[in-house]
Parts: sequence; structure tokens; C-alpha cells
Amino acid sequence: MDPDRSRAPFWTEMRWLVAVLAAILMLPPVLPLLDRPVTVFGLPLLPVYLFAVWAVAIALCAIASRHALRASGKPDGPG
Amino acid sequence: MTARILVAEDEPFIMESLSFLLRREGYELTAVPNGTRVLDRVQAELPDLVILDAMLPGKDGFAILEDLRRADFGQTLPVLVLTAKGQEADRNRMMALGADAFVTKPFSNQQLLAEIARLLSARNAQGSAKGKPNHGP
Amino acid sequence: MLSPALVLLVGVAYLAGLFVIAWLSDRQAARGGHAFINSPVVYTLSLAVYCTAWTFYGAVGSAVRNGLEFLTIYIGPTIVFLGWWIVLRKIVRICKGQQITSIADFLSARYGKSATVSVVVTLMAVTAITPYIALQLKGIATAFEALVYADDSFAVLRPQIGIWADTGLWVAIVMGVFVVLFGTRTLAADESHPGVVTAIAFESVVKLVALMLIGVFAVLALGPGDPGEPSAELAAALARLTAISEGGEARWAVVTFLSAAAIICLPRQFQIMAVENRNERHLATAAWLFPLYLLLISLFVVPIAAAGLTMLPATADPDLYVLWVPIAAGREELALFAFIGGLSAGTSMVIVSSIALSIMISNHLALPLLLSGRLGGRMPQDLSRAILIVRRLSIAGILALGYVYYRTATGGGALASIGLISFAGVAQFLPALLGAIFWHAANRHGAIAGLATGFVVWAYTLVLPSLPVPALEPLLVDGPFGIAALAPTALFGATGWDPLVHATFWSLLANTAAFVLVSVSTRTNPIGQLQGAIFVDVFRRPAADGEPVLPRSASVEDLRRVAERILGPDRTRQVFDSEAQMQGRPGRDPLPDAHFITRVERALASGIGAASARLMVSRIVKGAPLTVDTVMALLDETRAAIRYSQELERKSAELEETAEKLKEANETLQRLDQMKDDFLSRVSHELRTPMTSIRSFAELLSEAETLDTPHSRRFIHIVKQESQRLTRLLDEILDLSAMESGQIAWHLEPVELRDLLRGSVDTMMSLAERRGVAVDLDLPARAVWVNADPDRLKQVFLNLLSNAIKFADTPEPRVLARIEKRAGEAVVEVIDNGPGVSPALRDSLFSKFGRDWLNNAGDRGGSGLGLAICRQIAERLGGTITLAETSAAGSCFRLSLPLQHVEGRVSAEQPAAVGAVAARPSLAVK
Repeated sequence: MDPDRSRAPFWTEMRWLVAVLAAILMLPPVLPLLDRPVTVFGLPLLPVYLFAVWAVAIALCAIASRHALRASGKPDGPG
Repeated sequence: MTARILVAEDEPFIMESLSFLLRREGYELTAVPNGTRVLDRVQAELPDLVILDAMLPGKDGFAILEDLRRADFGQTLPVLVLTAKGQEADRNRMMALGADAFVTKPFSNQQLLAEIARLLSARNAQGSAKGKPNHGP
Repeated sequence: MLSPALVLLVGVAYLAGLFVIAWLSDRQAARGGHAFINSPVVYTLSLAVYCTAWTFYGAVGSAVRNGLEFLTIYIGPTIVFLGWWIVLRKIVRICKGQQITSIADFLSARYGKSATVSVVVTLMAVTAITPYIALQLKGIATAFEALVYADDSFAVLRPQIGIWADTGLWVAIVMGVFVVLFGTRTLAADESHPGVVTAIAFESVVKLVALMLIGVFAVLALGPGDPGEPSAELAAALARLTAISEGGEARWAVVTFLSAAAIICLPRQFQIMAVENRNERHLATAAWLFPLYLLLISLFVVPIAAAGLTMLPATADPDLYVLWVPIAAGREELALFAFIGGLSAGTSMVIVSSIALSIMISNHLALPLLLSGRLGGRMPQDLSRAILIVRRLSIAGILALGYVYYRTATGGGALASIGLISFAGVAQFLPALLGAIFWHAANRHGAIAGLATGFVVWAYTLVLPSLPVPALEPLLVDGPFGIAALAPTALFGATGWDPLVHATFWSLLANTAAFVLVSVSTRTNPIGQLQGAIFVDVFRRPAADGEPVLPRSASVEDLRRVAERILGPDRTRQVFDSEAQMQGRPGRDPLPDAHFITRVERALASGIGAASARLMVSRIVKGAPLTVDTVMALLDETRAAIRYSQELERKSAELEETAEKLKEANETLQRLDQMKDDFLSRVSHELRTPMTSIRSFAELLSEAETLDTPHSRRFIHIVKQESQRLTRLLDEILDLSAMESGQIAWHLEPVELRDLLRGSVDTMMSLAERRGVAVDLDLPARAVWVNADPDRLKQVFLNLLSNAIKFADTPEPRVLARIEKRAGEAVVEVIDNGPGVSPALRDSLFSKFGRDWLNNAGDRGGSGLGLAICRQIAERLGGTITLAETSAAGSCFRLSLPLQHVEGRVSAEQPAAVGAVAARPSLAVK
């Protein structure tokens, strides 16, 4: 079986997870837990955490979208 | 000189009557009951006239006539088509293919003999006009 | 600082460049070159119109004042887009299907194409967006002044020369002219503005690049160590930057929620996301690309804020740090570039917002008035022209309003706080919007109740307190008429709440409550139910024409007239012609059935909104009286129609099959026809052949000389024989014909096969002996009974036997006739060791058409119709006759008949073998 086809439903479920998890992780009550005076590579934790979660969510969503578009047979990207 | 006639006919009784009739008239007869043999026999014997049935086993009269006319030995050979297929279309087709005479079965003996005589004399006239010797032993 | 002339020049040049981009893009789109516009990247970049001067300037200001809270403005939209398929895709799908032109159109169309809803939404939108536009004006004007008038202490000294030197005014005027030129050159039937979209996408790139550039610069400026120990205030300020302010959790949640609502409900966002969407698939790309843009644009806000805090005096306006930071570092050209970025951000917002609002105003406010003749008396003939004028006036009006608010209400307020007022205002659309796409029972009354309630509460709790009107002081503090519970900033005792949180909470609570309660307790009118089904069930519907339409009729001429007034003659002709094609009436007028009327209405709606389109069409159509039952019946019909169309698909597949079969049947008939001719010609040939001999010989015999020869006997014999043959042939032909046409009387009775076969063999014995053929019988010990006509059956046996005997040509010809019982059938086989049947003849053996059947039939009798007759008989008796095997070693003809079960009949059972059972000839059949 085409590996994309078998993965596509997985990504369809994944996208729910990404959206919900992103919401939970970037909102109170979870978020204030990370408002500590801790530094990561010299930078404060909270912004690093936020941007990291944000970036990961974007990346996962991008993969899911690619799979969704490929599964429906259309190339994505510009043009 | 006796004219030689090749008769292509598969019905034995008809062949019998023809052979009796023609021999009585003084013609030499070669009987070919099978269509596939006709062209070879014509080429071998070079008769003066061919009596051709349209429906023969192996190869039908139309095809034989066509091939005959294409062969160099058969282009000017007089062909009399003798057939039970009496329809207009068949007649036209045969004439178009180059038959010289068309007689339907059942035929009248007299009519048949007359046609044969006509074709043979025409051929003789042709032959003499071309200066071919028609006297023979 | 920089010279005003320079800044002006650069600014105007940039705007001119934008205009060129838009114009080129429109031209390309008009020529059909949509490739660029159809890119999902362009779509996503155009969505970035979300980032306005608020983002460009105000984000840094918000970071300085409230820490990381500024990120919530971008996190909200991120979450919404990550879950794009839930809400956004549904909205886009509906908009495409219903050709929605704006958010007001969307809500109005959903709630029964209600004009009231569209009016309410339009007014709310204009009210809520006015502060937002003012915010842009403020941002740009302030930035301009900062570049041009600021002194070394980064304080802006505006020359007070009166209103005409007010930068804000000029900004408003320039933008107004620009937008009018930009967005209202023509009236596109589907409200698409490819030029605008391209220009906005370009602007999004510019502002992102500008902000990132300043950000990188700020990072670099911060990099090489600090000049000395940072002061306590600075340290505190820096710490605040990267934290959530105290008590800020509530605000964090609320602002995230508001920005999530805004990304859908802001008229400009709705316009770009749904109305200007070219391809639903672009959403899948925007789902991650847009959050990425937001991430990038917010990434450098904190560094810029930190740099500003470090490098600039505390009195400097944080909203302008983006400009101050490069200037403080001596890089004025960067500051100019930053200004362009801010100008970009601001103008893009103003352009799209005012276009969106002007569409709503013209379609939902002005047009209904025009149509009802209350504006200017007569209805203008060319409505499209009137609509354009109305739109231009609307844009001017919107900007005027924005300017007024800017002058009066923005004062020293932070850009962000102004923007949040707008966010809370458009968030009032959210309950009605979500209800529109998810809740069947949501109706017009509920929507209006919710919208109105939410609007009032919002205005009361948020807008009112923001107006610097002294007379309102007592109201704000003590509540109206001294009722503290109704104080705008502390409703029902909710004191100490952050104003934004407070206002959002109460307005949305009231909104949703009113919406739900009223929807549930009122009845929806038929069209509301219809629209509800169309919207909520959009994903379940297979195609646009599966949707129910109201039963209506109108005259084609009326429809054409109405259409031409809105769409113009060319487009009208297009629509009508394509409908005529679809109806199968090319070149003529389409039939004005309910579907076509709906189609025309929709085409009109794309130009003037659903409510107005409905109004116009309703004037010329006659409809069946609508009741809820009618609508429900319609909805049921749709479901039935969907099932029916599936049926139809199946039937059309069947139809295809049938057509194929018909074609085959036709070919068979033609062949049969041909065969009939063949039969006649064959019969004629068969008849003539014996006739020829007869005649020829008769003629010969009639000549006296022949008569006296020994030949004469022979000839007479031949004549006799051929006459018999002729007679036989004629009999067979007649027999066959009679059998085929059912004229034969069949006398069916029980027949014992062994006896019959034995009798047939006896009959054939003389012929067999004459030809030297040995005939053997192989019969079973027990009787074999069938139900048959004995004469006919004997005819078959005789025919088979005579054929076998006549065709035997080996030195020792043998024929075997045998009977067997096999699987409930009586099987009679006649086997010979003759030459077999050649392949060419096998197919036509039992057919009466076999042209190449027997030659030399002369002395074997029979014309070949015998087997055809045998087949007729066999079939008539319920059996079959076949050539079971044949090869050079011989043939086996097989007749099968159904056995007749005889109860208690004692037949002539003879034990042991009957007749001479000879060795069977072995047939090696290849």
C-alpha cells in the first residue's frame, strides 16, 4: 500500500491533536506555570517556550497539510 | 482444328450432360470439378474457351475469373460463366470482372452451344487478324 | 531629523508603486492570467493584512507596557488556523457556494436573507472598525511626525498650525483617494479584487522585512555588552518584557480569545479569507504558513523593545521605538525604511477595511434604499454606476469617521488599547456566526437579538468609557442614575476587573444568551430554515445543484431586465446563454424555472448582496405560497433527490449496457437479414442445379439421335433421379418453413427410443449394404422413453443415419448408432468413421444458411437442409442436436432429449444386448 495513503488518516487525526495541544499549551492555566525566572541559553524561559511550542505546532501542521493535499492529489506550494 | 474447352463444374450430372453435349459437337473437353485446380489446369492446357461455374468448391468463380484475368495467359481467354446464380448483381459483377458470356442454369442446350460457337469464332477472327495460323493438323 | 519633503516623497512613491502593482495585477487577471493570484502563498500573505500599524508600532509598545501579552494577538489566530478545517473551511465553502460578498452578507444570507440582519451587522461593523481606522491614522501620522519633527530627546513637537497642518488629516485624505482609486475602479461580479490582493500581499512582505530588519538591527545593537550597569528601573523594565504581567492571566486568555474571534469576524479578514479566496485548498497551506508569518513578525518585538528601553529615554513613546531605535543608533535610512513598513501596514488595513465596509454599506444600506426609491426619487437605470458612486462615498465617509475618532478619542492612548476596543466590537459577531454554521435552530430573531444586545453592552462598557467627554464622568463612576450595578466599568458588582476583560465577558454573555434564548423560543420562517440547512449542511451536500430551491416562476424578459441592471448586458448574456446550454436549449432563451431564477438571484447577490438581490428578484417572480410544510417537503425532496441521483447514476449505467445490447442486437439483425438473402440465393441455387441436369438431359433425349444410344437409358435415369432430388429439396424447404413458422402439427406421445432407432436402422439397411457400410446398434438393456412425435423423430434418425452412411469413405466404413441415459437425458449418438466435417463447415452445419455445405451433393441426395430440419425437430422436442466430435477419424452426431418418466409402464424390456454390439470405432478427437 502506498505509504502516503496509510499515513494520511494518521495525519488527519494528528491535526486535531496539534490544534488542541497548541491551545492548551499556550493559554492559562498551563502557560503561567512557565513564567519562571529560568534562562535557556541566556534567554528567559517563557518567550523561548512560547516560540518553541509555536514553531513545533507550525511544523506539524505543515506536515499534516502536505499529507492532506497529497492525499487529495494536488500539489501544494506556490503557483 | 478442334477447339479445346475447359469446363469448371462440380455437379457431376451437369458435368456429364455438358461433356456429352460438347463432345458430340466435336469439342475437346477438360473437366475440372475443383475450384483450386482451375487456374493451374488453364495454364497447363491453354484451352480456347473456359466454361466457369460461379459456385465451385475450394475457390469460387468470381475469384477464379479475377485471377485469370490478371494472369498473362488468361487475359484474352474467352470465359463463359455458367451458373445457377442468375441475379442481375451477379451477372454485372461477372461481366465487370471480364466474363465474355453469361448463361444461367438451367440452360437450353442450343443456347449454350450457340454462345460457345460465337465466342470461339470471335477468338478465331481475332487470331487470324493477328496473323496467327489457325490451321492445324 | 529627516526632512518632511523626503519622507513625503518616499511615502508617496511607495504608494504609487503599490498602485502600479495593483493595476498590473488586475490587468493580468483580466487577461485570464490567474496563476500568480491563485498561489496559496499570495493568499496567505494577503491574510497578513491582519498585521497593521498596531503590529508594526503598537506591538513594541504593548511589550513594553504589558510584557508578552502582545503575543496573544497572534496566538489566537494561530490556534484558529491550526484548526482550519473546523470553522474556516466551512465558512469558505459556504461563501463560494452562495457567492457571499461580505460578513454582513454572510449573516444576512444565513438568517433568511434578512435585510434587518445585514443592516445591523453593517452598522456594527462600521462602528467597531472606526477606532481601528483611527488607530492606523494615528500610527502613520505619529510616525511621520516622529521622523520629521522629533528632537533629540525623542519628543515630538508638532507645529500647531491648525487642522490643515494636521498630519492625520492629510494621511486620511491621501489614503481615501488612494483607496478609491485602488478598489473601486470597476464592479466585479464576484467582488474579487485581484489587484488589491496582490498589492496587500506585497505590502505584507515589506512590513515583515522592515520589522525583521529593525529587529536584527536591535539585536546587533544590543549585542556588544551593556554600557555599564543597567539601572534598577531598566532591569525591572526588561524583566517585565518577558513575563506575563501580574493578574494578566485573565487578560491573556481574553485577548487570545478576542484575537481568535477577530481573525474571522473582522470585515477585512473575512473579505480576504473567504470572499477573495480563490481555492479552498489554499486554506490548508495558510493553516501553517500564516502562523509562521505571525511568528516571524512577532519574533523581534522583544529585542526591539529591549533595545528601546536600553537606548532611549524613558519619556520616549514606546509605540515609536521601531523608529527611534535606528535613529538613536544614527541610522536614519533604516528609520525611513521602518516608516515605509509602518505605512505599508497601515495602508493595507485601511484599504481592505474600507473596501469591505463600503461593499457592506452599498449593498445593505444604500441599495435597499435605492431600490425602494427613497433615495433621489427615481431608481437609477444603471445600478452598477450608482453602486460605484455609493461605494466611493462610503469610503470617504469611513475615513472621515476614522479621522473624527482619531482627533477626538485617541489622544494619548496606546495603539493596542484602541485596537482591542475594535476587537471586542467585532467579536460580537461570533455567536451569530458560529450559530450560522453549526446550529440549525439559529434564526433571524435570535441573531438580531444577540447582535443588538452584544453591541449595546460593548458600546456601553468599552466605547463609552474611552470617550474623553467630561460629562460622562459621573456616569462612569457611579453608574446611570446612580445605580452602581449598572456602572459601565463594573457591571453587577464586577469591580476591579480589567476593563477589557469586563467588557468582553458581559457583552458576549449577553449576546450569546439573547441569541440562544430567542432562537429557541421563536419560529423560523421557511426561507430561514432553507438557508439554515444550506449553511449548516454544506459539507453533506454533494453539489450546489443538489440544494433545494423555492418554487418560483418568472418571465425570462423580467429576469433579463433585472439582471442587466446589475450585471450589465454582457455578463447577463453570459449567464443566460450558459443556462440555456445547460438546459439543452442552445441559442434560445432559457426556461425560467426555479433553478434558473435562483441562479440569477445568486449572480445578482454577488454584486449587491443576498438581501437586495432577493428583494429585486422577489418583485418579478410569482411564487407558490411558502409554508413550513413546503420547505420541509423541499428539504425532504433534496434528500430524495440525492438518493434519486444515485439511482440515476445506476440507471444510466444500465442504460449504457442496454444501448450496447441494442447495438449488438442490431448487428445480429443485420446479419440475419444478410443471411436471409443468402438463404434465398442458396435455395435458388439448390433448386436450379437439379433442374439444370433435368433440362439438359431432357433436351438431349428429345433429339431422336440421342434416344437411340445407350446413353439414353442413363440419361433417363438421371432425369428421374434429379427430379426426385428436386422434389425432395422442395419438400425439405417446405418442411423447414412449416416447422419454423409453427404450422406443423406435432403429435407428442411417449416413444420408446430403442424401437424407433431399430426401425430406422432397418430402413437404412438397403442403402448401407449398397454402399458397403456396416451399421451397428448399441442399445441399453432397459427401455428409454421420451415424449416426442414419432414420425419426426424417425425423420431425424433417418437423416443422421443416411448422412453417416453416405459420407463414409474409408475402406471399412462403419456406422454405430447407440442410445444412452445420461443425467436425466436420453442421448442418441450416430458415429461414423468417415472423413469428418471440416472446420469451415462446422458452424453452419445445422443452419439452413450454410453456403459451403455439401458440394457434390449430386449423388448423395439431400441439399443439406436435412440437418437444419433435424435441429428444428430436436428443439421442438425440448432437446438438442450437436456435432459432438469430429476429426479425420470420423464424426459423432448427438441428439439429446429429456427423458420421460413413465410410472408403472411395463415396456418391452429385453434383457441383454440388443442387436449386434460391435466394437465401437474409436474416435480420436483432437
